[in-house]
Amino acid sequence: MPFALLQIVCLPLAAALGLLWLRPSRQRGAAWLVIGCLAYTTILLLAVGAQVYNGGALVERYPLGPAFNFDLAADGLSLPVALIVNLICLALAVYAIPYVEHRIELIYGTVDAETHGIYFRRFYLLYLFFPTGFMGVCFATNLLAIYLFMELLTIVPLYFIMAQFGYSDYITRYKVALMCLYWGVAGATLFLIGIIWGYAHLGSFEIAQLSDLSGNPQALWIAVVILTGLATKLAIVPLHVWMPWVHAEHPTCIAGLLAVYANIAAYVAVRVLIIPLQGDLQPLSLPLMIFALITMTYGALLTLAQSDAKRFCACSTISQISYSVFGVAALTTWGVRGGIFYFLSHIVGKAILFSTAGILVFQLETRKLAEMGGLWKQMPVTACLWLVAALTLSALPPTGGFVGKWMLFTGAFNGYETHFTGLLVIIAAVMSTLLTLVYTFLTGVRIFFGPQKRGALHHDPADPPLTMSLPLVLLATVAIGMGIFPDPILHMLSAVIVDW
Amino acid sequence: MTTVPAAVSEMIPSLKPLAAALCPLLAAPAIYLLRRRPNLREAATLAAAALQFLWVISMAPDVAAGKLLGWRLIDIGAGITVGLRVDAFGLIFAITAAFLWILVSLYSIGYMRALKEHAQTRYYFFFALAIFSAVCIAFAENLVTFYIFYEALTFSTYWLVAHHEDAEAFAATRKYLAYLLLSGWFLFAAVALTYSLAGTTAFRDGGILTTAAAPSATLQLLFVLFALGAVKAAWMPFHAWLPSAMVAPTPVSSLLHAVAVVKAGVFAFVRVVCHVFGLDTVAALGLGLWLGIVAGFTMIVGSLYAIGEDNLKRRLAFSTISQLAYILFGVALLTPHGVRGAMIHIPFHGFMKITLFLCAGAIMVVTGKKQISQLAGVGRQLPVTLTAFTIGAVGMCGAPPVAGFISKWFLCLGTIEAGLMAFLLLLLVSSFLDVIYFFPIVKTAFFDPLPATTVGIQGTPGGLREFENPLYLFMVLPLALTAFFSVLFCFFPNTFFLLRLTEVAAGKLF
Repeated sequence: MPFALLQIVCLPLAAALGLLWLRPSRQRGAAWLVIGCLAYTTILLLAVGAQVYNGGALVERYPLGPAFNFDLAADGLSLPVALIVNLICLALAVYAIPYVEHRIELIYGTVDAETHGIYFRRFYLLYLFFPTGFMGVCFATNLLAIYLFMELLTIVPLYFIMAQFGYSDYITRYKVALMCLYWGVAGATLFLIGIIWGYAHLGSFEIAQLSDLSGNPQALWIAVVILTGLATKLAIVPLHVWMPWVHAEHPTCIAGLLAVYANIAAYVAVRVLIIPLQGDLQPLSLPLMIFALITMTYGALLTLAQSDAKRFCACSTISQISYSVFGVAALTTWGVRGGIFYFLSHIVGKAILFSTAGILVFQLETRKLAEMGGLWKQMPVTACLWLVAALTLSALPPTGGFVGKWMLFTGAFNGYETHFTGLLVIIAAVMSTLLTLVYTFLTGVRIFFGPQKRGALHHDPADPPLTMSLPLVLLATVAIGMGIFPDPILHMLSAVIVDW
Repeated sequence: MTTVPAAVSEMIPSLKPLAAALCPLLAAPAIYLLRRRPNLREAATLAAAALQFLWVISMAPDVAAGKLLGWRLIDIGAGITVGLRVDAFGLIFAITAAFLWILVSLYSIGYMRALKEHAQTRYYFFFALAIFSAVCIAFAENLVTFYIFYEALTFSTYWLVAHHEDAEAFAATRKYLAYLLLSGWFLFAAVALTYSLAGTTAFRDGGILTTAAAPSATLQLLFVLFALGAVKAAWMPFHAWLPSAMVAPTPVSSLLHAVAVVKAGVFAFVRVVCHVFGLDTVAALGLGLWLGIVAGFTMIVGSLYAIGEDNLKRRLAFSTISQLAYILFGVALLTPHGVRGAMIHIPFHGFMKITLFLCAGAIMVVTGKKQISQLAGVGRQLPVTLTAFTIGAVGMCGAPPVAGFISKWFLCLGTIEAGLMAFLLLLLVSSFLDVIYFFPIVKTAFFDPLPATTVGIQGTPGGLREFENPLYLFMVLPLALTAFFSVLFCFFPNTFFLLRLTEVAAGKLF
């Protein structure tokens, strides 16, 4: 397949342009164009996966200048990440069809078909920047390119979708969008400062060159600057302020992608810092693990305190992302592999959980958890989806979460076998994962079991249309498949994250 | 990390363990489908129980000859392997669980129907799942399998403890979950650390950890993690969940106390000491003495709590806490007789304690009495039940001719082998305390006069009430049988190959 990676990155943008040619009234046509494009890139990704499965990498060169290029490379680390992320984009594109129609009616009132179509098209147009940005971050081999794709993600889909399709009134949603834009840009700028500092030493922005920094006394400080930038994206306490806002404000159909937006920084950290420089990062390992532990616990406690179905999921993301950061921070082979694997299972689980919360908001027209109860009988599919998401996020077998949690904690222990304080930190982290179980299951029980609160609801609750539930069932299958048959992903990861 | 291949060469491939485990798992959906036909539903439970016991006992001759039977179910990767493997020690636990499930199922029919309990289908459903988890724990080939089913046991017993769905039941369930989930997460940490240190989680005679694998501080921390993970064993001071879980229906209490949950906890302890750390490593780390001290403390203090308790089921719960500590105590001695005493006490205590609980339930159903102070003269109303109770109580005190005598004998020999006379004294004091809290119950029930207001069959004062309802027979028969077996085990401890199995299991360790 020629230019496979280029197609994967750029086709969504091409499709976005294509949307402009469609008549606005042809809404379904626009949606299916997007879905068709993403399905095609998913198939391309599978084809690329077959090529890089047994080690090796697929490299495509697109030089643009002396220090800057758009070279794309797929290897055993970037491919599983890209594939799972693209699958989520695909599933949520389907899920979004009824959701966005509903949202437009809520925000803009009853408008004529033309205007409605324009808004609808605008959503999908902006939506397509997500797959482009994510695939770019995954496959780029140049640090500047990674920076650009991260900025692209922050500015186009994150800012504009929130500003146009957000939940609060006009003023508030622009305010929140602007705040998130500032946080996103600040994080990316720190990243930029770090890579320019690296350029001063290396004369290159290539990731492959970064390992030459190893042994340089400034490498540690460059890493600190880059990590601080990424920690802003990862919402590590105390840089987590934007996270509950952004999730509460966004339409639920893309909330799953926001978890990806934040958590993909863990992939970037592995790619640009840990693989080339793991020896120099050792002094940062324990402090980073402690920050991750604090974030895990704080995020989980914050989640327990929520009474709003959407903020609930948002706070849970803060805590979940730090699981993968914890594994990655241990700097052992298994810890990093487990961290990446957990990242993948988290985004799948979170996409299901957010979207299930979205189904509740969509079907019941309320976000208050207190008004829900006993919905199990009327919404069995939704309840099962919530259960799978809860199992995945609580990292219980038979879901991918268990494999990820097992690997990242085994890996973390492996790095600190003789370090007593480190062992205690890891044990504390294991114990704090119990809070996830508490909040996912407790909330699930409150929503789906117990007495019904009929008076509180506007509608008779029922399961959503198939366009909303089927994509989530697909993701649930992926979540369980990752738990029973994780070998392909682990096999690919082990080719890149080798024993060191 | 080096990955050590698990020792499978010695294992004989056999589907029998899987068949035994599948009986209760398949019974669960059958129970649900038959929810509108109660008689068929209970028949399904009984059939599954009987079939399971036959599968389990059919493995006994082979295992008693020193063979290992097993089946590797799935190798997920990254060291996560789910496999069943039957060794002598696991089989002891499985025989106990499978056999008692038959009797408790029979008893449940009488108990649940006589009390007209609600949600009986849910009850039998989760009962079957709990037995499934317990048998898989017994047959677990490695720590990961063990951990998965250990958590499954916690979840499957949730609705059994919460059965009454009132405020008291939910409060008890919250406590139950808080303790057991926390302990489960500690166990997860322990399993992960073990895998990180040893590169395998497969149970092996003589252990998979050596003092060379890590600094002793790490290994000691690991042992503490395992101990916190085995809070199901209700060792003090982490025992509070057990007495409050007594709000459950009595057959559940007897399942929890004699068969599944607490035995899974002590089972974990024995596994960890014998097959994960290995006796030599435990001795080298000086952990035996600490475990012995904790166990001794639990033995004595549990008995003291029991003396002060008036509610019969709660007194039995504290007695369980004290008796389970005998098992920990036996393992802590790290001597052949001590370990054998610990292993044999698992089935023997199971049979005796289940007798006591079934009696408590029968007394409660027939007379409505839950407090010991109300029991005056009950022996005349329920002679068979109270005779069985007396047998169980004598066994608990470790007096012949009941099974408890055998295990206490082994434990005493173990203390002498280990040269710890203080521990021998502790054991004797503890069994004396057992006499103090059991004897008054027997005395009140048989020798104190019935209150004058009591009415028997057809209005005759103080008459026999044990057989006034045919449903009561479902309760009296199982409890008489468990009492009978408790005596039988004293004269023929090799019934169901039990003694021979402990010999095989201990023989491979020393």
